Amino acid sequence: MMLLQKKLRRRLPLIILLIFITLPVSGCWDRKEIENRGYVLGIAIDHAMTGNDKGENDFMYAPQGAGQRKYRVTVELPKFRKKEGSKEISSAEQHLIWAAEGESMFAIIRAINTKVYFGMFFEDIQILIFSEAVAREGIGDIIDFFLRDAEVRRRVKLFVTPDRAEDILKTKLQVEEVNSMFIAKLTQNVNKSPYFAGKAVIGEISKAIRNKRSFVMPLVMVEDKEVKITRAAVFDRRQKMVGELDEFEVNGAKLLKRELKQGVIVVPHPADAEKIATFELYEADIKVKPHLEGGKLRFSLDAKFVGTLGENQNAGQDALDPAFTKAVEQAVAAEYARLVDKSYNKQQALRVEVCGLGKLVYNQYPDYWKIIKERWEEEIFPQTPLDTNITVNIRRPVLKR
Amino acid sequence: MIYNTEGISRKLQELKALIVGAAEVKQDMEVLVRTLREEYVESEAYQLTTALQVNLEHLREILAGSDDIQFREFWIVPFQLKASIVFLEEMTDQAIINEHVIEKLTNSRSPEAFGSQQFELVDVIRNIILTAASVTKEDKLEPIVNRILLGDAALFIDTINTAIIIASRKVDSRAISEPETEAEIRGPRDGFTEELRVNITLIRRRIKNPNLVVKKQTVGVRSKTEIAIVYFRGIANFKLIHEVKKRLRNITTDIPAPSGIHNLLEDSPFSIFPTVMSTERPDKLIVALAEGKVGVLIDGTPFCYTVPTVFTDFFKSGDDYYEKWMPAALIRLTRYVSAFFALTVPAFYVAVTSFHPALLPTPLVLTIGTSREGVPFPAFIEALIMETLLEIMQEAGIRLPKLIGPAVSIVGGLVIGEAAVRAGLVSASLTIVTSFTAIATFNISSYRMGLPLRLLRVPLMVMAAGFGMFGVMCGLIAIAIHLSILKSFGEPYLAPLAPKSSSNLSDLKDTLAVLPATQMVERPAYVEPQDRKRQKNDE
Repeated sequence: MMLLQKKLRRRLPLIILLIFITLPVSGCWDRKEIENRGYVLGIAIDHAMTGNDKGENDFMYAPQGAGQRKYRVTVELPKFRKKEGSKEISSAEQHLIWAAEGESMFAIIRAINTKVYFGMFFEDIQILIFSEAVAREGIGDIIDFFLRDAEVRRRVKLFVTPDRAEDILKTKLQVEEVNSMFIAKLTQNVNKSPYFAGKAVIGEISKAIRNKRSFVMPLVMVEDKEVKITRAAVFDRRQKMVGELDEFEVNGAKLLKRELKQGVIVVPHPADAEKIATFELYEADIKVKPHLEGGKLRFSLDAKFVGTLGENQNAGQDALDPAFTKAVEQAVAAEYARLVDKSYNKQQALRVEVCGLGKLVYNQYPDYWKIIKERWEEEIFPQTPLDTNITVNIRRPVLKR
Repeated sequence: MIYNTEGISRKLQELKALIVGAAEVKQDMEVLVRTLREEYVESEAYQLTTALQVNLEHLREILAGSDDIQFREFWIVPFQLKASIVFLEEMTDQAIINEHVIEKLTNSRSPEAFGSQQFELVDVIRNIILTAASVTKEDKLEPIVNRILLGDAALFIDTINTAIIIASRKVDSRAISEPETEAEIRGPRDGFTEELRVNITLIRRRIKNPNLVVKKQTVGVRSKTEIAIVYFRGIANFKLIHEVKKRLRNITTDIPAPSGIHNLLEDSPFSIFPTVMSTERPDKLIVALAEGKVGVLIDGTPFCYTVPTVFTDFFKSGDDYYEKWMPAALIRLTRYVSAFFALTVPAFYVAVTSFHPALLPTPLVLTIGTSREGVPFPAFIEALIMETLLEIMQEAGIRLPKLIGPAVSIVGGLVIGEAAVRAGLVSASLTIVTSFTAIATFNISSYRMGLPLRLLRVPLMVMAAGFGMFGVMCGLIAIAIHLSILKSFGEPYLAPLAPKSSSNLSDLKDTLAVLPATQMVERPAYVEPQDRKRQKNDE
C-alpha cells in the first residue's frame, strides 16, 4: 500500500503534466461564443425570381455542381443589439434577413455563410414557410435537408403562404419581436379559435411522409404590419399541396379528428332571424366509428357538446326560457353538422383524407385495411358515406342582470 | 642548477603554520559565537536543592531573567528561615499571596506549637499555616516552572528541597459573547472564548453528568498549549478517544497555532476539503458529543474541534434542530443546492454559452446573446475576470477595519457591477451569475466548506472552457471520487450519505433532510458509538 502510494506520488507530476498537455492539443473545437452564432429562427422557401438565363455569378447565386437555380431560401436571424434606455425598437430592427438561390438547401445555406460571419445554427429554428407555388410542386424533396440535419429540432412549425414566403419574414410587425418567434407563438391559440390547422411540426410531417399519409399545414398571411394564421393547406400522399380547407372546413375537420375542444359557433337568433346567438363550446365528447357492412364501408359520428350561451344579441329574449335554449341547441347542432359535412365533402372532392379516419379503419378492420390501403384516399374514401348525429347541451345560459 | 631548497622548505613550513593558525582562530571564533548566542534552556536539567539562593538562581536562569517574574523574599520569623515566593506579576491574584501566604507565614506561631517533631516542616506549612484553597507540594523544578507560567505562585523555603505551589491564577478573559462566525437565529447567545477554563465551564454548566469526561493534555514542545479532550464516557468509542489522544501527542510542531491545530490532526493534509469540524458554539459541541464524537478544546482559540467529521456536518446548523423539522429540512436542502451552485454555476455558464447554446430555450439564448454583444472577451475570460474581482473584494472585506468594510461592498457592488456592465466590459448575464454564485457561497453555513468550493470553481471553469459540459462532468466526477476516498479519523467522509449496511440507514435521517427529533432514535452509526440508542424508555 505504502509502496503503491510512493509510486503514485512519484508519477503524479507526470500525470498532471499529461492532462495539461492534452488541453492545448485537443483544442476547443466546438467552442463558439454565444453571440457569434447565427441563430436561424425562421426559414422561408420560395421559387427563385431570377430565371436560369440570368448570369451565374450575381449576388444571390449559390455555387452548385449540379441542379438549377430553383429556390430562394431566406433566413431570419435575431439582431443582438443593446437596448439603450427605453427607446422603442420596431421588429425590423430586431431581425436580420439573408437569402441565396439554388436547388440544394445545404448549398444555399452555405452560400449565405459567405455573407455573414456567424455560422448558421439551426437548434433554435421556430418556423419553416413554403410559398404556395413551392408547396404545389411538392415539398417532400426539399424538406429532406431539414429532417436530415442534426441541428434541426422536431418541433419546427411548418406553414404555407399564398404569396411569397420571404415577405412574411421581411415584413415589419407592430410587436418588438422577431417575426418567426411571434408567428410560432401565435399557434398557441389553436384551441381558442380552431379555424387553422394545428400541430404541423416537422417531426409529425416527417412521420406522415414516411407512412405515405396526407397532411395539412396552416396558412400564414401578412398584411399591413399584421400576420394571420388561418385555414389549412392540404397535402396529398406525394407531398404536393392539392387544395385548401377554409375556416369552417378546418373546424369540421377538427371535429372529425376528435380534436375539437373549444371554439364559438354563431347561429341565427331563434326569435329574430336578423339577429344572432353565440354558443361557446367547453366540453366535447366525439366518437367516430367505421362500419363495414356487406363489404361496404360507412362512418358514423356521434358527438355530444356541452357549452354556454356566449351571446344573446336580442335584449327582449329571456335567456332562461327552455324553448329558446332548445332552439339554440338545435341550431348549433345543425351548424356543427354542416361544418362536418362541408369538410368531409371537401376532402372527398380533393381525394385526400387528413382526419385520421384511415387509422380508425385499420384499428377496427385490419384485414380489410390491408386490401384497401393503397386505394384508400383515391377510391374508397370518396365513396364512403358519413352519418352525423350531434347533440348540443347549453348547460349555463349565464345569468345576467 | 642550484636550488635554494632550504629557503623553500622554510617558507612552506611558515605557510603550514599559518594555515593551522587560521583553523584555530576559526574554532575559537565559533566557540565565542556559540557562547554569545542564547541557548534554549531545558528546565528538566535542573534539580531542586536545599539552598534557597541556589534554587532562586536556577529559576532566574530558567526564566531567562524575565522582568515579569517576581521574587518576593521574606523571613519566616517564627521558623527562623528565609523564604521566597515566585510568581508572574500579571497573571497572579496578589491578594491571595498577601493574605493567605505571606501574612499567615509571618504571623505564624513557632514551629514547636505544631509539633514539628513529628511532622515535616513542609507539611506543617502546607496543611496548617497556609489557608489558600489549593496548595500542593512539588519537588521537581520543571513542573514548578510550568505552574509559575500558568499564574500560580511557588513558595521556596531555605533548607527544604520541596516547593509549595499555591494556586493563585487570575483568569482575565474576554467576556462571553455571541459567536461571530456562526450566527444562529434561535441558538444560545454564548460562544467559546480564548480561555480554556471558561470554555470548559460553558460545557459543564450545560451537562451535569459525571460521565462527561474532560482530559487535559499539552501540545507543542515549546508552547505547552493546554488542550482538553472532551467526550461522554459510555457513548464515545474508546478507539476514537485513543486515536485523538495519540494524534495530539504526536504533534511535533514546537509552537502550533491554537486555531490551526486541526491541520495537524487531519487524515489527509493535502486534501482541499476540511476533515475536522471546528465550532465556537458550545451547543454544537454538545450535540456532537451526544452523537458519540470527541471534542478538542484548545487554550487560546474560541474554536473547538469535533471528530470524526463528515461532509454533511458542514451543512448543519443549530437552527435545524430548533425549528420545526419540515422548514428546517427545506432550509438544509437549500444549503446543499447552493453548495452545488456555488461550485458549478460559472462553469455551467461557460460551458453552455460557448459549447451548448442549444440547451437553453430560444428566448434565453437571445437574452444572453444580446447581453454579451460587444463584450470583448470570450465567456471564460470574462468569468475568470469576474471571479478574480469577486475573490479580491471578498478578501478585502474581511481584512479591512469594520468601519471601512461596507465601503468595499459599495464600491465593489456599484462600480464593478453597474459600471462594468454599462461600459460593456462584462455582460449583465455574467454579473448575475457571479453575484448569484457569491450569495450561494454565503448560504453554506460553514465558512470552511465555502473555501474549497470557491477554490474548485476555477478549475471547473477551465474544464468547461476546454471541453464544455463533458469537462465539467469530468471535474465533478473527480471531486466526487476524491470525496469518497477521504477519511476523518478513520471514518469515511461521505459516511452518512452512503451507509455501510441497511442497519445504518437511520444515518440518513439527519443528513440531506432533517426528521422530527422524536424520530432520531439512534446515534449516527459512522461514529461507531458504544451505545447506539439515543432515546431510552425508563429502565
